[in-house]
Amino acid sequence: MQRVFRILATFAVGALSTALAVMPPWIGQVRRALQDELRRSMDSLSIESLKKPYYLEYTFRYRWSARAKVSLGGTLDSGQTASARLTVGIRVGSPERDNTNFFDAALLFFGGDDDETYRNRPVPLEPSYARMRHQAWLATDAAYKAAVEQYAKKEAVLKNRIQQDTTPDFVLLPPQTLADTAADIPHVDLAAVCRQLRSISALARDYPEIQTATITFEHIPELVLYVNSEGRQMTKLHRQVGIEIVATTQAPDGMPLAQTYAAYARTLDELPSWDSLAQAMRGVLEHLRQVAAAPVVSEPYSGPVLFVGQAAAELFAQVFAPNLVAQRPQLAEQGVQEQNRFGALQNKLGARVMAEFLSVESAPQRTTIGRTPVAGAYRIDDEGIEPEPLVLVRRGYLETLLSSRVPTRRIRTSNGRSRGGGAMYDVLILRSEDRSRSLSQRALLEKMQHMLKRRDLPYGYIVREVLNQNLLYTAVYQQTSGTFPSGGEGQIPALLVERVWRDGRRELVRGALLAPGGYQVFRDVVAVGQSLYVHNLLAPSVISPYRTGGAQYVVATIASPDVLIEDLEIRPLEDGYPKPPLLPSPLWSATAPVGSGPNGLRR
Amino acid sequence: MLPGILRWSCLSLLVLGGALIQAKAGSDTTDAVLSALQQELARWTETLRTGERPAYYIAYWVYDQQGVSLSATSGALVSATIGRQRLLDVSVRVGDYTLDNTHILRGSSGIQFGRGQGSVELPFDGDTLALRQVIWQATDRTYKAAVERYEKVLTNRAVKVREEDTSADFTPYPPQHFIEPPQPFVCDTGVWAPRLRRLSALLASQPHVLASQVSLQATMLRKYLVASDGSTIVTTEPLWRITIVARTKADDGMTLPLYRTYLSRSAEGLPTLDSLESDVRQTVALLEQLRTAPVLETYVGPAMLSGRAAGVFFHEIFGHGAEGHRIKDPTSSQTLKPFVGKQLLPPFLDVVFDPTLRSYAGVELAGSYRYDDEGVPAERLVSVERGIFRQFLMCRSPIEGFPTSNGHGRKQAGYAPVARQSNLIVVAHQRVPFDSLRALLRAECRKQGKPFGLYFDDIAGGFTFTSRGIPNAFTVQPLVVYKVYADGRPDELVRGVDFIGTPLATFANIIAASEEIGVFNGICGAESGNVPVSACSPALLVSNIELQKKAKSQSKPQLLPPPVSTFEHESP
Repeated sequence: MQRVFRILATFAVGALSTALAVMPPWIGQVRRALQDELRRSMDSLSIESLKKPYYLEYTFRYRWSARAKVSLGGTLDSGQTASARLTVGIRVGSPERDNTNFFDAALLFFGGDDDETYRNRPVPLEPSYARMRHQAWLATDAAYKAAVEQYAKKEAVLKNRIQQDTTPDFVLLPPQTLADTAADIPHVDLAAVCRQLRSISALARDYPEIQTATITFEHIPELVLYVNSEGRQMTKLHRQVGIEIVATTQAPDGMPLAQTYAAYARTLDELPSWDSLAQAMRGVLEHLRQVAAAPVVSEPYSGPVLFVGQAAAELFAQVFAPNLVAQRPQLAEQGVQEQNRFGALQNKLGARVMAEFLSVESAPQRTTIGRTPVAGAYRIDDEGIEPEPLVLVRRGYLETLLSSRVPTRRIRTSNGRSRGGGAMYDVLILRSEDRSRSLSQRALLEKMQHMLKRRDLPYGYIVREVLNQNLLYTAVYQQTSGTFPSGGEGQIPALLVERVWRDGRRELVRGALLAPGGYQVFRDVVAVGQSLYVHNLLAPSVISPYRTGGAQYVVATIASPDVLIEDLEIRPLEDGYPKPPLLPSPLWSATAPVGSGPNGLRR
Repeated sequence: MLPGILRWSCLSLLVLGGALIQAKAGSDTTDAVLSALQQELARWTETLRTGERPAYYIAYWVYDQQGVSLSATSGALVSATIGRQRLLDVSVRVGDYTLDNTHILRGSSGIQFGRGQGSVELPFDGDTLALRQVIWQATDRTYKAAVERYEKVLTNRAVKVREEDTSADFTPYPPQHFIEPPQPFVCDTGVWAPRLRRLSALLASQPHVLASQVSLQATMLRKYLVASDGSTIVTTEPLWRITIVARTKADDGMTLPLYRTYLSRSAEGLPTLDSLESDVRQTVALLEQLRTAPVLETYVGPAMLSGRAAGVFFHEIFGHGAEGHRIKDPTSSQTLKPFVGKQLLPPFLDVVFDPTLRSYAGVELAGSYRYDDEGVPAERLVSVERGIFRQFLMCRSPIEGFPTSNGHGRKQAGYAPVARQSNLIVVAHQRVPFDSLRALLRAECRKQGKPFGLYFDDIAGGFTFTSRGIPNAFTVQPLVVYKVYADGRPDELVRGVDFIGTPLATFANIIAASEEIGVFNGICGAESGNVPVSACSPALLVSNIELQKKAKSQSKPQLLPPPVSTFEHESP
């Protein structure tokens, strides 16, 4: 432990000297105000005979965001917004048993009757010592009153219950000071960005069969200041920038279709060049055109499936990665039950959870993999802990889980993975430990052909693009007026799928829903590719933001080789589709006389 | 490369108040918008004219809005947004004027899915083609939804009993053509940000003010309506609004807020900084008085409403009842329907709705417009004349006895228009000076054997239940209420009550009005979204009102004293 402290202290001092150059002038006042109010609250905050706080933390976030959304050469939205927010975390009782890890349904659904908020409380954009102390005072008071009530409710529940799990609610840590502020505060020339985006979005004018095509840009640098009553403090500049392309249309039979492209990074420099983005736009539009003309998946399929590039990484992100986050079931009042999503691996430490030639590593300190920048990289988590690299799965067997400071039965301490309000996966690398199972794409295809023959299946599937959940909920649904068929629970829409016949013929198909059936599908991996595809994504928070008050999506990175799965179910779409538009798109009029398009008058 | 600190300051400066937001007056994009709307309208009108389910009316609305929004608390900005938005709403009517897809579905628990489609984003630059693509898609979707709903309407009509009001769903109106020249929009945040900081620091200058905010919303709305009946209307609606909000908490946990709102069509029309400072100081002082004011128990007796309070009272209790579309709603209690041509108010009162009026009693009015949102010119309407109820506020959905619109079909982007209020004006034919009204209040107290009456100086708002399933009571939420003693003792500030009652009984109890007029400008929210309105009235004396205890927070005041005493001298 001592050694770790020395290393961190050295890093902190080094970072601070650079950080001074980029810190806003008021940061010292904010820190001092929070520390002073923290001290006063810890010393004096009490209600009659009720428990005093034993732990208090403040997180101050100052965010400067720039955004733009364009379509067909026009701007739908562009703007810049600043926000400053304060979040208070307070614990009453003792580390063995406190007010947390308790699901207070009444508070969650109906809120308290206090006028003050203490989670993500808006605070002045021009902070000063006095203003921050005032805000911290109001927020802490409300947080404390809620905490003592929650503690009392929890105690009451435990009086009537024999509790099997004796895991403490918290583990105190020694003081530490960390900083990650060496980077420049980036400047965005939004007007120039909009010009470029408009120009790229205008490419869609050459594709009159496409109904919507948008490009969204968002740049969100965030300065985070954290202090707690243990004497732990942290300052970091979190950077995030992203570009999303989403195009939608309907096939001649009405089936809603979408193609997407997304690039996320920490800095503008790390994003693909404008030329690359233009190429990506063309790719999305071409694929959509091709998919719209492709035959439909009409029969359920169960057999070998090869996931390539983005599809392999996205499958891992949706099906396996969320299970790698340590979760603590919350105590609840009788009759109240909280759904524990992605809890399948909580009791599987030491068990085989994937094919024995595969390992999974968490490496949040990696800023590049190969030559690709890693958007999910970070040096300090949201609780002021420096994450260590970890092997999560070694040769198929689960070694540990990613944790925050919420102790769980198997993982008592934090390994620095608290982001966006709770423990979250970060930079995960899936690799093969067996060279004989790492094959070229051609060899993977041959292997799949062999499997098809062995199972006497006429064809198999290659999945090249899987729909990301963030894009589904924030763009695709919106652009298709909620008609996009996403398949429901346990099913994942695949956007770019090829059917591969036993004789080697290949054809694009549409309307494929993946039904992987849980993390166990990674036990059925028979071979992988030889290189890693680095997939930066906005991933849904594993611990529900309703519980944590944190972010709905958190940036993460999955590096995955192509993956050949022995058996995976692919289902056809079963619901009906909306009818195609009655009139052809006006885009046809720019290229051809009205009414001559493939979607011509159909009434 | 600039050094970090300097660069941070630049970022802050831009967002925190150093930018001159300026949009030139010009018709550069107006032409593109109109052209796109007209091209798509022509295409769709032609296509949807025939077929199994023809559309007989198509309308497009575009809301092109530029705006600045700044909020300050404790002497510092807490939010700053500069934005531009262009939204499209589409209406497609399937069927005919008599019966179309917008018809109320009876027996569906008040849920009327499919009547409004919500807004879609339009590009605010670029050319006609980018605009047309969005309009094309939205029209297709709206038409399909209209057909779906029309089928439900036909079935609903077949399976339910004959309707009480068999009026048509829509009424034709002669096409209107009006294009107002654009106006420049200039908002210098470098001027406004320091003002808001100054005011918010003053507001937070006393420890009893727990939370407070001063906000500016400046918007320039360019509104387009293009419809298949031949109307093309383009208007420009600037709106500047300053809002002051402050809150304290009494020792018993009761939260006590105060609000002040100022609206104008120009920056120059807003109060001066000196005047705002004076109002802020009054607000701070009043909050301190409120915090320690005694709690009033339930009460029945005489009361006087200030002009502003009476205006809000009439807006909530009378105005919403006079909105004509409710008469068609079978779930609505339709309280005013039997009063057409009959005495509703005392004979010395008129109620007028006049969107053509730009100011009243020297104050600019927020509820003014040239055309309503259905392409009907704004019209002055005497709704109550000498106490007799004459007319409902009408949109283009006729009701029995009122077949035409009187220019009150209004909506916010994303909603379908219904009859809404504009500038409500209560006119008293018998008036007394304000002090005499107070004397009348005391006299009324003595007459009723009450030790005191009440004076409602300010009201936050209120609501009325208009559904048939529940008692049609109203609640008005007063902010500042005084006891006015019958024996002439000084007035006493009290807190903790809401003004409740039933509309008809309360109207009958109005016995006198003052010469002085109060004007309330605000934003009213109802079925068709938020629209700016005004309510103007003399102070009124009511012989009998009822109060009930206000709901209050059970949370204790802050456990520790405030850590700092003032923000007034802090510079950002």
